[in-house]
Order: sequence, then C-alpha cells, then structure tokens
Amino acid sequence: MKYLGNIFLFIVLIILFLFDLKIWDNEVSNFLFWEFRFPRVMGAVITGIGLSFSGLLMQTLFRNPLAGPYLIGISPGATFGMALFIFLSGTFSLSFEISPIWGSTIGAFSALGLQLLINRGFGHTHRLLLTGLVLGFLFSAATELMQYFGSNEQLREFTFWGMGNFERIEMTHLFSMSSPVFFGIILIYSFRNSLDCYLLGDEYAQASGVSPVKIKNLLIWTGAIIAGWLTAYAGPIGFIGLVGPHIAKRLYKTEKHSKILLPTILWGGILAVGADCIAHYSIPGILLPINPISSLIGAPILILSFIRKQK
Amino acid sequence: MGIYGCQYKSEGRDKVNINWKNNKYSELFKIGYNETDTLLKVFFSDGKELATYHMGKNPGLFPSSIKIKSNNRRIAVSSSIFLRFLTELNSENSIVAIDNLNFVHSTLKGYLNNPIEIQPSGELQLEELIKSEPNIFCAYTLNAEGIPAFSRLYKQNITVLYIQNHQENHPLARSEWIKVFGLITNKLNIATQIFNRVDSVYLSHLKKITPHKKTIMINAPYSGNWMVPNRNNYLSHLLNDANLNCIWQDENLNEQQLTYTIPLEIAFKCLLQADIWLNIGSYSDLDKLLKNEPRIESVLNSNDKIKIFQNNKQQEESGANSYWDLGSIHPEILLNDLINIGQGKFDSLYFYQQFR
Repeated sequence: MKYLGNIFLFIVLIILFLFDLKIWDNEVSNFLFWEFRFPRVMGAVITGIGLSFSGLLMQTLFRNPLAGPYLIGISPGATFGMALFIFLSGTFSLSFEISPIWGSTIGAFSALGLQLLINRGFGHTHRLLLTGLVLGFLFSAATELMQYFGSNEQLREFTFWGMGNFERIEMTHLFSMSSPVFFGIILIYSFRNSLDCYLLGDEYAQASGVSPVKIKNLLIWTGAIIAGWLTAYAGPIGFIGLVGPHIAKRLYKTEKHSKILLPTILWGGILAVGADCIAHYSIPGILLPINPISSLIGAPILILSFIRKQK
Repeated sequence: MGIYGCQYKSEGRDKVNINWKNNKYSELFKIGYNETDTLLKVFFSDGKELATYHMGKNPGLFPSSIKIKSNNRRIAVSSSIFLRFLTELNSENSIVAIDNLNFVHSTLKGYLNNPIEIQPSGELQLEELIKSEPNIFCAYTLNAEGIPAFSRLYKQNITVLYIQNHQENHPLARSEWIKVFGLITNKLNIATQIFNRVDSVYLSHLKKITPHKKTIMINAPYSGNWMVPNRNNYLSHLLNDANLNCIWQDENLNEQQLTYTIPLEIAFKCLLQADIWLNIGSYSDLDKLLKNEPRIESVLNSNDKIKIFQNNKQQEESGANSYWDLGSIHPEILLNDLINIGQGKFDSLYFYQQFR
C-alpha cells in the first residue's frame, strides 16, 4: 500500500503520454502508434528504470548518494565505444557487421576491463573511484580526437546520439533492452539483505557472513551491464541514475534495499517519461534533446534536497 | 537596379557622399561608391553590420573601414563555393589557398594552380594560410564570436573578407554575392552580367510551372533526429518556387529556427502522405538508409507511390559534390531539377538521381 502513490503516478503518466488524442486523428495512427509512440514511451520507461536502478547500485557500491555509472568510467567508456563505431565505420571493412549497440556496450566493458586490470579486482572502492576518474579523462580525450577528424555527417550523428533521445528505439529493441534490467533487478533483489549489511561497512558485512568483494563484483557488473547497454539505445542520459534513487530514499527515509528498490525504479521511469514528455510538448512539434532536459529536472531536485538537508 | 545616395561620416572630416547600389535580392551586403572610392558593407543575418571595406584612392576618408587592394592577385578561400564564384569570373589563377581539396569537384581542380590546403582536417591552419601569402582571405562567420580568430591575419596585411552568402534565405540572393567577388577582382561588370543571366533564367523557369502541386518531404533521420527547414529557409524558397508543397509545414509547428528537429512520429506521418522524398541525408543509396532506419521500409510499403531522389548525382568518391557550390551560384539549375521532379520528368536531372 505504501507504494500505491508512486505506482499510480507512474501508470497515469505512461497512459497519458501513450494515448494523447492527437495521434488518433487519421488513418495512419495505428502505424505511428506501434512503430513510434509505443516503442518510444516503453523505451523511456525501461531506460529510466534501468538507469535509476544502476545508479542505486553505484550508490550502494561507494556508499555515497552522489555516485553514478560515470564515476567508474562506464559512461565515458560507452560514449567512447559509440564514437569508435560512428567515426571508424567505413574506415575498416569488416567481414561482419557491428551494431552501434555493441559499440557502446563494448566501450562500457572496456572501461570495466581496464578497471579490473589496473586494480586487480574490484576490492578497493577508492582505487576504483580514482581509476574511474582517470579513465573518464582518457576516454573523453580519445573521443574528442575522433570528433576532430570526423566528417560532418559523423559529427552530426554522434552529437545527436550524445544529446540522448528515445526516438530511435524500435519495437524489436524493447525485449533486448528490458532483459538485462529485468534479470538484474531479480538478481539484486535476491541479495537485498546482503546489500544492506554491505552498506554498514566491509567489517560489518564480513562479520555478518557477507563477502564485500563478492558484493562489489555483483554491484559493478550488474550496474555496468545495464548502464552500458541502455546508453547504447538512448544515448548518455544524465541525472536519472542520480536522482531516481535519491527521491526514493528521501520519500521513504531509509536505505534498506527491500524498501527502496521499487520506488527507485518507478521514479526512474517517471523521470525518463517526464523528460521525454517535456522534450516533445514544451515547444509543439519540435523535438528537444533529452539529456539537457533530464539535467534541468534533476539538478534542481538535488539542490533543493541539499538545501532542505542543511536546514 | 536602383541607386540611392547617403552620406558617410568619417571621424574628424567632412561628410563624404556615397551612392549605395540596391541589390535585387541580397540583404547581407551592399556596394556604394563615389568618383574615387568604393565601399562594401557586409551584414549579419539579423541586420547588424559585420564589416565595412574600402577600395580606392582616399583611405584616409574612411578610417574605420578595412582596406582592400584594388588588384587582388592572391586570394585564399575557406569554401569550395567561393572557389566556384572565382572560377565563374575566370579568376581561378589568383587562388593560392583553399580549405580542403577533397571538397573541390574534379571539374574545377583542373583550373587550379596547386593551392595550399588550409583546412585539411576541418580546423583552419593559420600558419599555412599565412605561408600562402594571400592579399585577401575570403571567409565566413556564423556570429561575431568568430571574428577575433582572424585578428592575427591583419598584422600580416591579409584582409579578411566575410562572405555571408550562406546566411541569405533567397536562392538568388546567395547567387548575387558574385558581385562581391567581381568587386575584389575588378570584374564587377562581368559579375553583374552573370548574375543578371542567372536571375533571368531562374525567372523564366518559374513560367514553366503547372498548377498541379506535388507534396514533398525532405531529409532523413540522424540518430532519431529529423531536421526540416522552416518557411524562410533557402531550400524552402526553392521548393516553393518549384511549386512543391512542403508537407511538414502544414503541421503548424513552431518555426522560429531556420532548421528544426521534428519528432519522428510527425516526420513519418508526412512521409506516408508525400509524393516525393528529397535529399535523404548523406546516404549514397537506399539500402544504407534502410539499414540505419528499418522502419522506413514499412513506410515505403504503405506509400508505394512515393518517389525518392538524392542530390548526389554529381558527387565524387572524395565527397566533393557540385550540388553545394554550383547549386549555390546557379540556383536556376537546381530549380529546373526540382520543377522537373515535380512534373515527373526524371531523365534530364542534373543534381538529382532517382532511388525509387
């Protein structure tokens, strides 16, 4: 019953956005609905849920409410992978086809692989943080270099991808987008009590029979796969991963995973659909990019929350 | 062409009478003169003055203007469009530097005398530009922030001449900038004759138009973003002159920007109703477009009457495409293509080829 308000808001927003009456005014509406409206709104929901969930995992990993996938270099890695795909496609002729989705995912995994190689595991969170910072700079520098040498079309493609949008999500993408999110949530939910122990410190976790190293591996791999995978489809979308869990924790005044998991993913979905709604309807007929909008929504929420906390 | 007079006030001196010539289409430059001096004013698209240039015997009378020598034998250009203007005036021998030879069409390369490339990777290389020792550098800027980048060139006695024809919204206004190139190469009369010819052929094409209007959709999606021009855009003028109905403009969208992104839902709705689909992004064939955006296949199946044209008939392997430079100076060729497309005459197209 506690979550009823969140669930209600979530469902109402999706229904309103899916079925606004304008789309039903001509004979092509059926085609437009199933080819564009439905995959876009559902893509936004899945992306929001996944990013918010991934943000929660990173916040748990670092025991820090300001953590997100960008901190350990996942987001810059995914962006680098996509840049590699866009700017080098056509330069080398490959005997097999690489989808842009794989470009971004491979980039995210490269960041993780480098973390693993440099730190010989994910045991020390402060080293993960520092390495993530350096990797972020490295990937950004490589991406900028590729942009410098890219053609106008490649630059345009990359810039639009970097601004984030749900328009390019197709019906056939929804299953592959939702699979890692669905399994990730089930997996993490089954470890909810161990995660709560981990939050209290490595020593406490060990004393409770929870292996901090195993938990760190679980959090990093699950968070990275989901963030890297979804970034490939929707582009890098900021703040949802940060704000979704933050709202859930503020509303329920707890960090217990069994309590905040559901509101975290619901609020991720609400924020993403809300951002997409603003992108479509703030200037009628003109599509605005998602990334700046999600930041414009997310940043004030966080600032307001900090101000209230200080009081 | 009308002539009107005005007084140019120079600091600490008497006012100087200048007769300003009215352009027929262009609003972003004007040429004025008296017995001994000629002035050229260049403007931003919002009407603000960008620069005033002076040619003539009395530079002291116009202290705030930028001096241009009367006989420019060495010219650097930052666009293949400017190269095309100079070629039209048979002044290609004076070109000493060019942005990127890959963008120069093979029909023009033969006229060139080994110019230095100054933007081989997109960024302007000032050192290379200075090494080529031009008297004048024809450049363009999007806004006032772009101007300080060129300040070092003035110390080397290189005059930066802003060619803002890309900001003109009428096709013939873009073409009219040939007069500016005529001015700096002492061929203003020839330039005026060329422009008058272009203008008259363009206007004569308008008489060929039949009352039947075809609906048209343009561009293609980039990463889920579909950009379209507003009513005031250069391309919209051409399409309207060719009696083609720009279908996205019936949607009553906010048209503050010259080009804007529309949601894919609207773009595909337009595509489903269009007779013609033009300029499908940078795709060299339909298969590449379908691979990038598979949902287009469903549209093509539903709207089997749609005919698709791409502006790459003159495109070469290097990427050079005379659609951009020749089409800018000779919009009458472009208009002729568009009228023929609208009337179903696809055999003699110059810039376009049919994909479907």
